[in-house]
Amino acid sequence: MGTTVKDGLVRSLAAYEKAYGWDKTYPSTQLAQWRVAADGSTLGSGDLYAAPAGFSLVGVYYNKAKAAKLGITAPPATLADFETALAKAKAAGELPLQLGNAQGHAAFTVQLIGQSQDGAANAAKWTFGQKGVSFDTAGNRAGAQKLLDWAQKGYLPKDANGVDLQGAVTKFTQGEGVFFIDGNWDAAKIGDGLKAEAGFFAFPGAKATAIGTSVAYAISAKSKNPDAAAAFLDFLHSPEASAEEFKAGFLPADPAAAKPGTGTVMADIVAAWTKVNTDDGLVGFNNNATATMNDKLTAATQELIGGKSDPAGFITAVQDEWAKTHG
Amino acid sequence: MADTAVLPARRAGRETAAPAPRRRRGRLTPLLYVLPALLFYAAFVIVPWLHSLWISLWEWNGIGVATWAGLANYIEVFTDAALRSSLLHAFGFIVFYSVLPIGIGLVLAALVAATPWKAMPFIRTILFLPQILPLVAVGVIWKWIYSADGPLGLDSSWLGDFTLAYPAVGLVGTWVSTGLCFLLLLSGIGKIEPSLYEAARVEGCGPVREFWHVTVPGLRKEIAVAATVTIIAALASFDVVYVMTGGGPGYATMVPGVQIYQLVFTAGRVGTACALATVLSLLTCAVMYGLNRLTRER
Repeated sequence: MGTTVKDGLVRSLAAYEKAYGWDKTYPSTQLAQWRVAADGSTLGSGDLYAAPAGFSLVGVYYNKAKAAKLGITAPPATLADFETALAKAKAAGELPLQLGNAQGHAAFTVQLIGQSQDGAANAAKWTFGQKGVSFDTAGNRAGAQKLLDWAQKGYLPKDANGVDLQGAVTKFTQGEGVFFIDGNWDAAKIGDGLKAEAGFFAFPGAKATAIGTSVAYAISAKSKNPDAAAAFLDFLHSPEASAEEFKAGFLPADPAAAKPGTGTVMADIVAAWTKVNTDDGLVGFNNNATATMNDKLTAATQELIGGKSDPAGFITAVQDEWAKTHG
Repeated sequence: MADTAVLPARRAGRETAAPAPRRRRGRLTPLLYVLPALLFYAAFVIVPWLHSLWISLWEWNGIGVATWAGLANYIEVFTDAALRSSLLHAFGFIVFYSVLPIGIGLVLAALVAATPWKAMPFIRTILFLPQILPLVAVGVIWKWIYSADGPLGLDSSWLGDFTLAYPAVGLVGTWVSTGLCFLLLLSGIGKIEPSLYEAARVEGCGPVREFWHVTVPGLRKEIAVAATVTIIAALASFDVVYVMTGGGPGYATMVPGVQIYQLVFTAGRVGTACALATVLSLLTCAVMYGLNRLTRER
């Protein structure tokens, strides 16, 4: 996003935002990810450059039947509750937390623990690349430490580093794993596989927080009809467009526009989405903090789980990579 | 008789009359024959290579304005531990892509040549099969074979293991290259003078000494061809690594091919990518030069 703004390829939407009142239609965290400061690399403040069309949301899937057998009847409310549930699952001979980390998806676990403790607003500053912020926070240190602990305690699959996300989804739908951290994009596959046993909740914490971003559309700087394009961007949050976005598996800006079937995993996801928006708890992906952050998080989480580094080394590696762009 | 006597004289006479154009045309004619190929080679190999050499001197994200970087990108290739280790991994692959396949191919070819089997066409097809499969398909198949659900019944995926991932990926290269090396060497054995084998036997050589003193030296040219093809494949490896591990776990299987791809398409560091690509191509040329010197007929 920053690069296209810096190179003058997309048009500022500031005037349209005011004209259409988008700042009032959308919760602030939904638009913040598409604001770019004048330096072209800091996000989260400054002019708006794109308008969202459907959101993604990362939270925790769970196998309701397995959870019920373990005596877990309600989603855990705190990280401590969540750890107790993982321990219970392990003791019962179940795989507590399904994970595929060949593409670095353990980064979700670290981020969810981190932002649930540091607070969404603080965590977002880092993903936006704001000056003087560091990855070395109490929340992220806890996140890295927990990930390592869980790997060592056997809460994670032994070969997580050798399995990709879709491999993990398949295993989870086949009944391997009580919990599974993943995004709404896999809801259809998990719902089809586990049917009514599939459940979802926002990551436990004092306030509901989640990782998520939107598909968003910008207007080219060379556009001859920017006004018409802006009218289309405004249409993207209309009830008609929202219904289509939801049908395609995305979450609409207004949770009320999503009408899932009762008792489905989608109903749980919409409930979590509503809660996250009420608590203003949506944070962009750490993986998008810089162009290279996804590759760095992939390698660094693999090294952490594989015992090749420690939480302190993990935090340093991630922050050093961030500083190359935002330092 | 008269004709033959006259002809040289006439030829000589003409040459003295107009020597320059004729000689030039004589030199240009062969060039004309290679011109179409040369044009394509220039347009699709030489020019892009020079272009990437040029880009490697700039800091450029692929879209915006580039700034002059001089040799900074090259310094990075040799000082950044991740980039340097990817180069080392590529050279390590030579063991798996070239040394092992040629070794196995030599032994197999010698065995097969010594005892002609009826099942030969079948064996040849099976051994050559990996060579005609798309490497992406090969990667997908082996990823499954190495996984915990695979037919090997592994306890956990080798591709997720920091120690095993690299040799596991390398062995796929061995599997792919062995068939090619075997066929090349087998065809070469057919061309070795049978009298050499007879002489060796008369001198009292066993099969092992026959192998070392007749077969291997007789296959010098074929070994050179096999080494050239497979070493280039090792240094330029991309598909198998990209599909199987993406360079992970950590950077345990990262090779320049995958690294260059990431630098261009995700990191937006086109200059650094071109510098790494240039270094890789120069190193490849150097290795090829060395190989040619080593295997040239004395």
